[in-house]
Amino acid sequence: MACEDCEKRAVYISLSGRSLCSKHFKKYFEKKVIRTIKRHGLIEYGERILVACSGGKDSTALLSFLWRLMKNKRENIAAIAVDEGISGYRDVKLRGLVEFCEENNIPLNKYSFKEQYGFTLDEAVKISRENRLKIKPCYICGVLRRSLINTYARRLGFSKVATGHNLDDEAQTILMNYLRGNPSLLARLGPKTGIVEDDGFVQRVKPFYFCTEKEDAIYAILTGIEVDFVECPYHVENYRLEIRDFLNRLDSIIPGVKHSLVNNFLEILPLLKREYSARSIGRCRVCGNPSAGEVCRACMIVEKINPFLGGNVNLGQ
Amino acid sequence: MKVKVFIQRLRETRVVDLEENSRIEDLLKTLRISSSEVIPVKKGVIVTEKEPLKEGDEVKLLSVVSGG
Repeated sequence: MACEDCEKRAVYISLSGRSLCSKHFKKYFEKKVIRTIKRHGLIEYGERILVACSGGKDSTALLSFLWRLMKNKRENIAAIAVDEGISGYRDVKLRGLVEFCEENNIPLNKYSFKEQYGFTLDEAVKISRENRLKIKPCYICGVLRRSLINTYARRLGFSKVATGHNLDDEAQTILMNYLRGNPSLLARLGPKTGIVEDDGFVQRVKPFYFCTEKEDAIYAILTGIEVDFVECPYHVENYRLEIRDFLNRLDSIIPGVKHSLVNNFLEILPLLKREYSARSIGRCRVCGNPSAGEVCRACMIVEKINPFLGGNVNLGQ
Repeated sequence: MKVKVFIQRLRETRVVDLEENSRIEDLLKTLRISSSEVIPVKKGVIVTEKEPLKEGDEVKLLSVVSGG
């Protein structure tokens, strides 16, 4: 099959039926990302952007793209990575990221759960299981990672945190929250996250919001980013995995179902934001980060795990 | 016709029997793999789901999902 723009061999057929060669696919992808950034005001002129990197293809491709996009303002961009302490997984992924940043001279700020909280994710999961604390690995990981990234983004003076979330991620999160009946969590989604403006929050933005996971992967391969497909060992325990497979099966029968889900959600998002923005936000009495409750979710996790470790917990404040 | 396929996510190679004039999309249907989950590669280059297949072809299905 030939590219409809130049007759070279196509590598991709878009949802609207456009067949594209590698060169025109890259153009199509980058145009879509730039349109998302402009239309949703994700990055304003002169802003300092911290790219949250996992070592996976999405965030590394995003870092590579933004590094090239901001070639005249490179002092305004850096990467942040968190080593949660997942043996055989994150250490492998971060090795590739460190190499990528060194090769391209991209400043990388690296932190770990062990230094910040006093335990690795592997240790926290073991403690949780042995003591029946019933805290799921993905919950511990997600909450602590977000808290740490927010803390350091603020401390290092960045105005936005850019993440590699794509259309598949968003469709999964929307469906998960619908099925669990979490409208207030739905209100936090969208290309720009958050419902409450607060000095303590650094806004998270998703430039790949309208790109599918497959498009991200093709883009990563075509731009020379090494893509390994090591899966997190805790992933199998994940509700998201079920939703992901369900949506992909549905998308084979009804092409574009993920796009429809996200686009329809964006229609109601302003109403959700209005509904939930009135709720006031306080400060966590332990760490001082913004929190809806008296103690933030990160500190609640640390308080549950800590007694089994014997102290020495640094909350990174 | 027989086609050899390497499925990266499962880390396994299978030989699949397909009708003559089949394409990658037919291979995916036979394997019950969604097109949005894989990138097909033939002779070292990325191809689309419309790519025709012939007897003895070798195809790699790279996984697009990355976990966590």
